[in-house]
Amino acid sequence: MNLAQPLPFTFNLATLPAETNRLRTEVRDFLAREIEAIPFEKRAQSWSGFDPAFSRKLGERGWLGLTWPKQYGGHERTALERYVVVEELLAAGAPVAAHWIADRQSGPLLLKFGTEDQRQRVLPGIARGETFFAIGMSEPDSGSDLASVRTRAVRTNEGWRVTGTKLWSSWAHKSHYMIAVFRTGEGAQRQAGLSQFLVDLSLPGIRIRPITDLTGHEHFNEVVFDDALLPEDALIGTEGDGWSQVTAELAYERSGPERFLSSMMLVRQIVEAAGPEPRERTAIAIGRMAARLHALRNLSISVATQLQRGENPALEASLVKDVGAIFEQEIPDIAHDLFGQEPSAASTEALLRVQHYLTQTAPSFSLRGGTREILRGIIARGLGLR
Amino acid sequence: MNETALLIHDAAHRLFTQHVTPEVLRRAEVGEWCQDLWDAIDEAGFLDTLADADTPPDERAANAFVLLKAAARHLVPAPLGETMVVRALLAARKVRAPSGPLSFAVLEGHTHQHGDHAHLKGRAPRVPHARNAQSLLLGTPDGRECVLIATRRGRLSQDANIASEPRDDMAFADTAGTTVPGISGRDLKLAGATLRAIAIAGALERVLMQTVDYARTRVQFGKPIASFQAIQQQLAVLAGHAAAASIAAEAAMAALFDPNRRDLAVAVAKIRAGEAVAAGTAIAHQVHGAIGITREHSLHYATRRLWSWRAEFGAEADWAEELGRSMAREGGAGFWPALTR
Ligand SMILES: Cc1cc2nc3c(=O)[nH]c(=O)nc-3n(C[C@H](O)[C@H](O)[C@H](O)COP(=O)(O)OP(=O)(O)OC[C@H]3O[C@@H](n4cnc5c(N)ncnc54)[C@H](O)[C@@H]3O)c2cc1C
Repeated sequence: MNLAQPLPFTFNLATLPAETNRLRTEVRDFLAREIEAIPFEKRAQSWSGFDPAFSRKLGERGWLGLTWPKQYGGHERTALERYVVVEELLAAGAPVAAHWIADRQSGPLLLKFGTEDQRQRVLPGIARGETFFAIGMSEPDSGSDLASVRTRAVRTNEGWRVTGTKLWSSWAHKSHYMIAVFRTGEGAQRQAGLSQFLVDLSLPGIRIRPITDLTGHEHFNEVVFDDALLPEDALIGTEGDGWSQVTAELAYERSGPERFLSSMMLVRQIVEAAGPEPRERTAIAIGRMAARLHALRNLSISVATQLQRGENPALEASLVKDVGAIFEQEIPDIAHDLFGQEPSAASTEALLRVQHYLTQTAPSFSLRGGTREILRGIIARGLGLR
Repeated sequence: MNETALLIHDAAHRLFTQHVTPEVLRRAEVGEWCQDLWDAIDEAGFLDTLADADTPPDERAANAFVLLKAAARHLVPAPLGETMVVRALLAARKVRAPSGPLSFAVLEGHTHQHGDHAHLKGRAPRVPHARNAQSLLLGTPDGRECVLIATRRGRLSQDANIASEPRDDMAFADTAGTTVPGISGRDLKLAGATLRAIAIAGALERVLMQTVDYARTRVQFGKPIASFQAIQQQLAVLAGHAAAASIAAEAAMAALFDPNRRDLAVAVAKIRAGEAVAAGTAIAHQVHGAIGITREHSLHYATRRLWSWRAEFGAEADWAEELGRSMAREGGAGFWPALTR
């Protein structure tokens, strides 16, 4: 064992530059005005709360497409400034779902692999908070095993003919576009022969059906492509490079602070319910939550700093998401353990309404964006175990 | 890492690789003092990493973190961190540091001024390496000054932690020492908790590396156990704990001398590192199987230290209660602003 060797992952403490303080204050002031009236159980939805009007307001403030070039409607600010805006929105429980996917991954993916025309066409709308995106990766028989997708796009004289079904596409029913991965060829390797497409969801031959989740909410969808015709220029990047492009997209999808802040409204209600003089075991529980959250945040800022430097912290992002999901999922348990009351949607106590929502949604935190087991497999590969 | 930190990193690992051999660890275990190692550390100039007034404070902290984490990876069986902290506190108050190993502890008792000298009365339990330290820095939790005192002036009863590291009880019956103004026992406790959090982070990295190595070489059912998914998933969990402990410890070190930030950062570090010990050591031993619980195998040099360090200078529950109370006073709406301050 060579103890001088670095670990395969790097997390160095990074401090957010002092310039971000003003931005943070601006965002807090804005949120104090804009969302204080939203009930806590709504705010508990966090990045599953869909509100186009709110997204447009963020666009007006210049807080979407923050890091993108100005020529595409962006604001050419740093990844760390984006980090600050994003974490403040999440901590406050702002309804950010409408623009979330577009701002987080679809836009950056198009900046990286899209054609000039694709960028011109959609990026400014995303930055204005008007154009929304869905993700078309999973299918009925392809979940964790994403490389097994079967939805096929065939090149014809008129364009691409697409047949197959995408599943669990969040907000497809309210989005304008989807970035989807389709099979375009037969490779000896399953990963070969995949390509990514910019899909205009209003085209004929595309049927979108919301799937009601266990809480009664509709957010994800089945999207059926029935010989749908996509224009020639719907292809993103290079035909056959879909796998490596999807991997890049997943890095955007997994690297942000939403992977440990999903239960923040319940954390807040727990502290509120504890009162200023909590009993010993409540104080200890709050202290432990604070410690885990503080450490996670520092890990996450370290990832953001690596992104800012143009590095590829995919392994680090998987680690933060795995540790982060454990934290988020513990919070409803902690509320139950400390207060032991029955969660209720109609309660006069905000704690119980928020707990009612998050108790039911927490299981999804270690599924969406890659399951716990898949992430740990990625970490294990990084450690040299496979 | 800044350039100096990088140099310190490399020099420290070179020095420790050479001097902290399995034989040195075995001897430390039976109470032998590692004079050669100490001399090498002293000659390398490491002891003033935190004290050096020519380096800006944040760089000093960064350098100290790198050095102490390296020391912990190698399980340096000497009070390196303790000596660095005492030398830094003395230097900041223009008090000349005695040469040789130093240590510090929180005093249960009281100090009072008597002419030029401060007097100590009371006991200091479980002082790290007291028997090897020339002098000790002691203070009561709410006092305004500490007292630097030659170890031989107190009564020492030997004791040790789980890993046989010296943790001696000291008793003082109105003993005279040098006043060091402006430091309290609270400062010492925060420094101690930071040192242990860094030590935990370094030792957990060692445990992670050692366990990964073992999993890749141990063969069962005709293949390395690393190929079993159950083992892979466990090690991924261990990696997460090591990462969280390390960044929390780094944040504590960076904030230790900033009165506005240190209480939060140090509490976070000791809590998070302590939690990582529980999960991390369990996984490491599970993956090692029976060989890992033998005296002969070296895994326990790290795990037994980790179990002790977790409790030293405040266990998770102590720090969590303190931190939780201060967060509760902020109220639900104030929690996040307080955490990000
Ligand atoms: C709220 C939510 C929103 C989502 N939004 C979208 C979206 O917008 N777009 C989209 O494309 N997808 C979306 N998904 C789908 C998500 O990506 C998948 O749920 C995920 O990839 C897992 O696939 P699966 O659900 O089919 O589970 P499966 O892959 O069938 O897995 C079931 C279980 O088996 C385990 N497992 C599978 N393979 C292995 C293995 N090799 N080793 C060990 N264990 C294994 C899994 O970890 C899991 O525990 C969303 C999911 C949720 C819950």
